[in-house]
Amino acid sequence: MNCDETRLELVAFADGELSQLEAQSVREHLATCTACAALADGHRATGDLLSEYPGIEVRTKTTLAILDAVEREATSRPRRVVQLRRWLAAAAVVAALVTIGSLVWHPHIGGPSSAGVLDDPVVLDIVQNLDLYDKLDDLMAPDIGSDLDLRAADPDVDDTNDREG
Amino acid sequence: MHDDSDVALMLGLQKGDTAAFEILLRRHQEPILNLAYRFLGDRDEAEDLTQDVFLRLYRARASYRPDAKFTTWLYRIASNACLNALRARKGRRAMSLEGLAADGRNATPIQIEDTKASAPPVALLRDEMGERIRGIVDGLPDAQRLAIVLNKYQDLSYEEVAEAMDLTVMAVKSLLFRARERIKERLMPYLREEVR
Repeated sequence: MNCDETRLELVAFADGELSQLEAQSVREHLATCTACAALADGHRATGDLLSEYPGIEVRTKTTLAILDAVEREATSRPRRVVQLRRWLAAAAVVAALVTIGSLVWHPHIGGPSSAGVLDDPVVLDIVQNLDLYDKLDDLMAPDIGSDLDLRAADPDVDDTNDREG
Repeated sequence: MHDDSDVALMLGLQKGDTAAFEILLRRHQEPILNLAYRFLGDRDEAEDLTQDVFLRLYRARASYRPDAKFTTWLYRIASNACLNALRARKGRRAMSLEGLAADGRNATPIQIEDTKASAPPVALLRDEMGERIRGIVDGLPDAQRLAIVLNKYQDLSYEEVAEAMDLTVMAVKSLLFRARERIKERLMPYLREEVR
């Protein structure tokens, strides 16, 4: 270990935080280098001076305040759970009413399943006459698209009426 | 042995034994109070923070796992609370400074007491050194101060400091090295000539 490497380890060395191998390397360097040895003593002395910072003692009123706060917490918790349960029950009732209301006003919502759909005479008619409905679609398509796609495709289409409108 | 019983008390608390909480509180409140006091530098704030830490402990009792060392878990809660308290304090200070700037013309001049003038002729060297150390520790950057307080005053190893601060051991080593270099520099006048 050279001086730079040793100096980076001096605080950890003074704190006893180095591995045996690392501590041995530092010790060997300090035995031969008075400058680093003085720095190591400096860190040790600083550590000793740091312990002069006095602490404070707990006041009884602090302990009682904490115990009181925790007791309040412990007793208020169940009340919160009860409140939460009441809110959940109310939310469930509201959700049920909304669902029932939806079914009354829009009976097709949540209606027949895919198997039951074929029982509907209108759907059954469409399924049985698919070819006819395809032809009807083809006949209607130009009219449906005339206002939108065709105008964009043909620059000669007069759209002044629309602009004036 | 000591730590095992902390774990047993925590497990008891999880099952609803509130007496276990009181034992844990009486056993650990002084170290937590002093951690907060040395980090924040104010007794009232330290007491509030201690209360906050133990309330958090109580609320988090279900999440405690016995494979974690109790004190490490507790110091992690406390370290977070310390840093949060500091952020809140800085926020308050910023707001009050804004207020001061707005009311600058009407502000009352601050009276600064000359403590040296009223000090007793025979200085109590130990107290004076304590105050000086306190001033130096207070002046450290937040992370360095927290690392120093946890390591030097709470006797946590580098590894435990790392766990409490959610850092790597190398980061803690670096923080403590820089903190101690800074402290040594500030304490230079009080160190013997040959160790400077």
